Order: sequence, then C-alpha cells, then structure tokens
Amino acid sequence: MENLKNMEERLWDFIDGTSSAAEKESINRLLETNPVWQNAYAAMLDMNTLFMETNLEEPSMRFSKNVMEGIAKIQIAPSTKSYVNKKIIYSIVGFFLLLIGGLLAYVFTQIDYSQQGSITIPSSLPKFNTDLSFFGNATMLNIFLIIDTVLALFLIDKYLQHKKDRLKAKEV
Amino acid sequence: MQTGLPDNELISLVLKGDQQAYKVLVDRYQSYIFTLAFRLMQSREDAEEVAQDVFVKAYRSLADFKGVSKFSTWLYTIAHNTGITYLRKKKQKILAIDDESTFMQLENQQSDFKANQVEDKSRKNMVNRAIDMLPPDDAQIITLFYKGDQSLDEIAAIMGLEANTVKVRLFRARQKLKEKMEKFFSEEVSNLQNV
Repeated sequence: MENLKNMEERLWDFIDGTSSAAEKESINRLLETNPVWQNAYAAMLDMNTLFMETNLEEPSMRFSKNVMEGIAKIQIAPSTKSYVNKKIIYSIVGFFLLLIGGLLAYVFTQIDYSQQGSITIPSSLPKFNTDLSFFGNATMLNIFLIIDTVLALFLIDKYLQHKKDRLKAKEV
Repeated sequence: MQTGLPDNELISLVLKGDQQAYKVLVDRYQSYIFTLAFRLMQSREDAEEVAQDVFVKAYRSLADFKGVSKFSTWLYTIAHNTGITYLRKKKQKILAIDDESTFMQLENQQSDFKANQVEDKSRKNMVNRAIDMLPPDDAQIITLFYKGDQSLDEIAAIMGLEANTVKVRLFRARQKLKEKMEKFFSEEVSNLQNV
C-alpha cells in the first residue's frame, strides 16, 4: 500500500514536471522496464488529461455589467504606501536625531580641551533624579517599556486605519 | 480593440482612468473567479455575489498591484480571502462531503442522474460533478492548478499555505477525486478506460 502511494506520488511529480533531473531519469528507466509502473503511468496520464478538460462555471449574462455598474460609483484608492503619513515618520526620525544630537553635544561640551595629549571624557552621562523604585526591578521596568511600545504601535495603527477609512468613505 | 492587450497594459490603462479597460479584465477572468467562488460557496447566487465583490475590491485596490506576481494570482488571492470572509459572515459551515449522510444524498442524486437520459454524460460533466463533491479547499486547489494556470508556489501564496503543504493537499485531492469518480461514476470511468 505504502509502495503504491509512493509510486503514485513520484508519478504525479513526474507528470507535473516537479521531479528533479535524477528522479526523472530514474522514473524514465522504470517506465521502460516495469509494467506495473507503465500501467499506473498510463492511468494517471488519462486522469490528468481528464482534470485538464474540466469546464469552468459561467456566471450570469449580466455579470460584467453588474461589476461595471458597481465600480462606476467608486474610485481607485491610492496605493497603501501613501496612507502612511510621512509627517509621522519624519517626526520619529527627527526625535531620535535630536536625542542623539543632544547627547553628542552634551558630551562634547564636557570634554576638557585644555589638557594636552589626552581627552577626558565625562565619566557618566547626566543623572536624572527619577525614582524608579515603583517598578521594583529591571524586569518590571522592561515589561513596562514593552507594554508602552506595543500601546504606542497600536495607537499609531488605529490612527492610520481611521484615516484610511475616512479616505475610503470620501471616495464612496 | 483592447481585448488582446496583456493584463499589465490593461491595468495601466485602468489606472489612467480608462474604466472600459477594466471590463476586458472582468470578461477575461469572470469564469475563473466565479468557478473559484462556486467551489467554495456551493451556491450559484452566493458565488455570483462574491465574484462581483472580488472585482469591485480588486478595482478599488488596483493601485496596490505592483506586478510582482501575475495579475491572476493577485486576483485569486482576493477571491480566496473574500470567499472565506463571506462564509464566516454567513456562519456557514464549510461542508466536507465525506460524511455519510451527504454521501447518501449524493448517491440518491446520482441515481436520479442515471435515470435521466437527457442529462449530459460527457467526460467533462462527470469530472465537474466529481469536483463538486470534494471539500471546498480540495476543489479550489484542483481548480487553481488545472484551470487557473497557477503553480504550487502561486497556489501557496493564494491560500496562505506552504508550497509543500499545497503539494500534499493536491495529491490527496487527486486521490479523493479519483475515488469519487470510481464510486459515483464507475460506469463512465469504465467506458472511458475502454475508449
């Protein structure tokens, strides 16, 4: 039974043209010499022709007219890419650039250029007197930050979806 | 005049505002989309509604078609998703015809069919009736592969499956189709083998 299934699988791959070159060669040899394979191949080839001959179902005569009437009321929506507000992307990029720029500016203003031969880089970045004991430990803080990120992404997505829906409503 | 143009050129025309070019695409693919919808819905009325919805959706989103895949693959993907959503909305169960009661029903239908001498007993009709007996997913795979001119990779993209899964499902669908034909159309199959 397993052998028969295996033979049929291999023959379907051969008929579909998805067998490897080596496999094709091996099946060709079997088809030349083995009557069981020859019979199975002939029957499957018949079946394949039969499947290819099937008819497509036809919709009603008014079908294309109905579709054309349907699209007459609407307009092609702008590509999804244009739904993403570039101002948001620029704002995010701007924020991070400002942050990095600010940090670099701070570091460079703290360097003591009067000393020759070596540059003293401030040993630490500015300390914020923020009480983080509320978070308990670092894991809690990480979880809190992840939730914040997910929430922010969710809100941005909602905002974009809302804009998209409004655009669509205008078209209709 | 536009009927001979390839899909991509027609799409460019539609995007430039020529709605009539879209009619050519509708005429070209309506039977394929309707057949796919019919295989899933198993009702002509529902299939017609879904197929129309597919073309309207495709028109609205045409600017999103970038030509990375074939237009037909893109359209079939919309058809598959629209069909599934429609079925979910209707809370209609996708009936697998493998259960016994449905078999009995079909067997009765088949005796009526045999009794009716006017009924077309052609090869094509026999296979179409056997495809209608397959579970919708199998019927869709068979239709996409044999009539939709889609490769295994393209079918995988349409149905949101792995190419290997599609290959296995296609194999099983062919087996089931063969079984159905032998069970319900044994006379026709034997006549066929004698030809």
